[in-house]
Amino acid sequence: MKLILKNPFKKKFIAVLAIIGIGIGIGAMVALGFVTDSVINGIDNKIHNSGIDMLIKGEKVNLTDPNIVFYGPNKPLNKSWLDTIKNTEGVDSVAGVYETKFLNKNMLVPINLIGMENTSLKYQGNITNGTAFNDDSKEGIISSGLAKIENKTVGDDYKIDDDDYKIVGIYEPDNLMGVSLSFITSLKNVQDYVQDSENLSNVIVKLKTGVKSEYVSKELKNEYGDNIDVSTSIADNGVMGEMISMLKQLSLAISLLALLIGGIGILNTMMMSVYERTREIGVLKAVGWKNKRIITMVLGESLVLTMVASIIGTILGILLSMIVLKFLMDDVSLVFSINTILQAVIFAIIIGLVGGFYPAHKASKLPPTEALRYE
Amino acid sequence: MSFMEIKNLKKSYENGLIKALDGVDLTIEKGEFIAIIGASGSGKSTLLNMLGGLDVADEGTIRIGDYDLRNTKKLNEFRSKFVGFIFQLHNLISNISCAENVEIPMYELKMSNKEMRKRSLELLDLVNLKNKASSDPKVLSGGERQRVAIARSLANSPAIILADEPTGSLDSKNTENILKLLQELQIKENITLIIVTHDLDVAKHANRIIEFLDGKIINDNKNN
Repeated sequence: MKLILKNPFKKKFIAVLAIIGIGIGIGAMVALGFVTDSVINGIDNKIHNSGIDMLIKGEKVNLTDPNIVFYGPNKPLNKSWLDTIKNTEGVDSVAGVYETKFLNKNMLVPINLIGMENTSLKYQGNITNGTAFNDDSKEGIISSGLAKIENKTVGDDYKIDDDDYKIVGIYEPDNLMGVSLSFITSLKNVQDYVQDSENLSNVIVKLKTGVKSEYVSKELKNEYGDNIDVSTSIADNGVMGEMISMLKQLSLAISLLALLIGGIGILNTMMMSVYERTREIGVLKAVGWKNKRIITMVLGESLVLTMVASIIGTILGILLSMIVLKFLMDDVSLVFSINTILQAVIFAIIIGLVGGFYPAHKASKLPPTEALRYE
Repeated sequence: MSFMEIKNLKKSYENGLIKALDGVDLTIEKGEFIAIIGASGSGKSTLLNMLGGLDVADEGTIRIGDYDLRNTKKLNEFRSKFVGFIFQLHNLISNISCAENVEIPMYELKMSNKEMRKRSLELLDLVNLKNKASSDPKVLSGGERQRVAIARSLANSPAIILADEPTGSLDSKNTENILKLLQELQIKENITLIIVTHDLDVAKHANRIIEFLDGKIINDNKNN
C-alpha cells in the first residue's frame, strides 16, 4: 500500500503533468455538467415560480412524418383532454393553449401566435407595459422582442394575415414555452385563425400544493401512454429540450476527449515508471512477489494518480462553474450534482485502470534475471 | 539425502552457442557457508540464479529441501519462503523507509502490518541499524545500505541466503564488516549461505570454496 501511494510521485514532474492532464478532463466534465444542470434548474425555477408545474402536449410525431411541418414535433390535443387532465389526481387547474406560427413580410422567420385565455397570461411572462387583452375582442399582447423589431407599442394595430389586432400590452416572455418573438391573443381568436376549434396545442397544468410533478407525470403516462407528451422540466420540452440534450452530449464529448488525452498521459507516465523501475520490479519478483501483486501495485499507482487528479479536477470544475455562472449568468445559482461528480470519478477510475493495465501487465511479465541485470 | 542436490545441470544461451553451465553436479548440506569463485562468464551467477529459482535449467535437476525447482509453478512460493537474496548493488527501493524495504518480502507471507513492522525492527536491530528504520535508503552510506539489504534477505527467515558479489561495491573496511555480519548470522540462524565472488579474500571467509571455469566445477575444496 505504501508503495502504491509513494511510487507515483517518485518522478514528481511527470506525475504532476499526468495529474494536470486528467484533472483538466475531470474539471471540464464537472464544470460543464454543473453549468448545464444549473441553467436547467434556473429556468425550471422561473417556470415553476410563474405557476406552471407541467406542460402537456399531444403524442410525439415521428421525425419522418411530413405533417411535422404543420404541427411541429407534437400532434395537437383534442380539447376534451382538458377535462381528462383536470380530473387527474393531484391536478389543481389546467389551461388550454393553441400555438401556431404566422409569416410577416417584415420578418424572415415565422412568428409565434399563441392563443390562451387572459386568466392564464400569468403563465407566459410579465406584462411590462399596458394590460391583458379581452378574450372577446381582437386584442393581443406582443413580446418585447417582437415589439422592438416591428417598432410597435401599446395602442398600435398589428396585422396578422388579414386580421387587425389592437396591441393592448407588451410582455417579457419567461416560461416553459417562452419564445422571444410572439404575439398572444385569446384562445378563440387563434382557433378561428387556424380554423380548428376542436384542438389545443398544449395544456398548462398547475398542481395542488405539495404534489410532485414527477408523480402526476407518471400517473398520466401510465394512464394515457404515448397519446400525450408530458414535460416537467425545460429539459423535456421541445426545441429547448433538444438544445439542452445536445449541450449535454457536447459537454460529455468534450470531457471524454479531455479524459482520453489524460488517459494517454497516464499510460505514458506508468510506462515510464515501469521502465525506470525495471530493476526494482526484478527485486520484488526475486523476493517472491506474485505477478498478481505486481499488477495490483502498478494498477494501484495508476489509480492513485487518477484519484488525485479527480479530486483536483473536481475542485477546479466547481470553481470554474462558479466563475462562469457569476460572470456570465449571474441570475443562475450553482446546482451541485453529486451524479456529475460520481460520473467524472468513475470515468477517471476507468481511465486509470485502462491506462495502467498495459504497463502493469508488462511489469508482471518481466523475467526476474533480466530485470535484475537492467542498468 | 543432502539438503541441496544438483545433478547434471545445463544452461546455455544464444541457441546453445554459450554454455553457461555444462553438466554441474553438486551437493550442499544445511548450514554450509560456500563461496563460488571464478572469472566473469564462468557460470557462477547463472548457478546462483538457478539455485534461487530466478531462472530454469535446460537440463538436469535441482532439489532443495522439499522443492524440485523444475516445477516452475512453485518457484514464487520457493523464493518467498525459502530464499533470501543479497545483490551487489543492494537494490533497495528509494522513497520508502529502511523498515519498509525490509518488510517487502513479508507481503507474500500473510503477516499483519504490526507483525511486519515488529519483525523489520528486529532485523534492523540485528544489523545495528534500528536507529535508521525510518530513514530513506538514499541518505545511508554504501555499507549501511548493504546491511539493510542483509536485513531484508532475512525477512522471510530463509533456509538459504544467496549473495551475488555482496561486497563488490564496498571498500575494504565495509567488506570486512559485512562478511563478519553475514558469517555471524549464518551461524546463529543455521542458514546455508552461498556467496558468488571473484575476490579470493572474500572467498576465504567461507567454509567451502567452489571454483568454476567455462560452466564446470574445476575445484571444490573445504576451507579450514
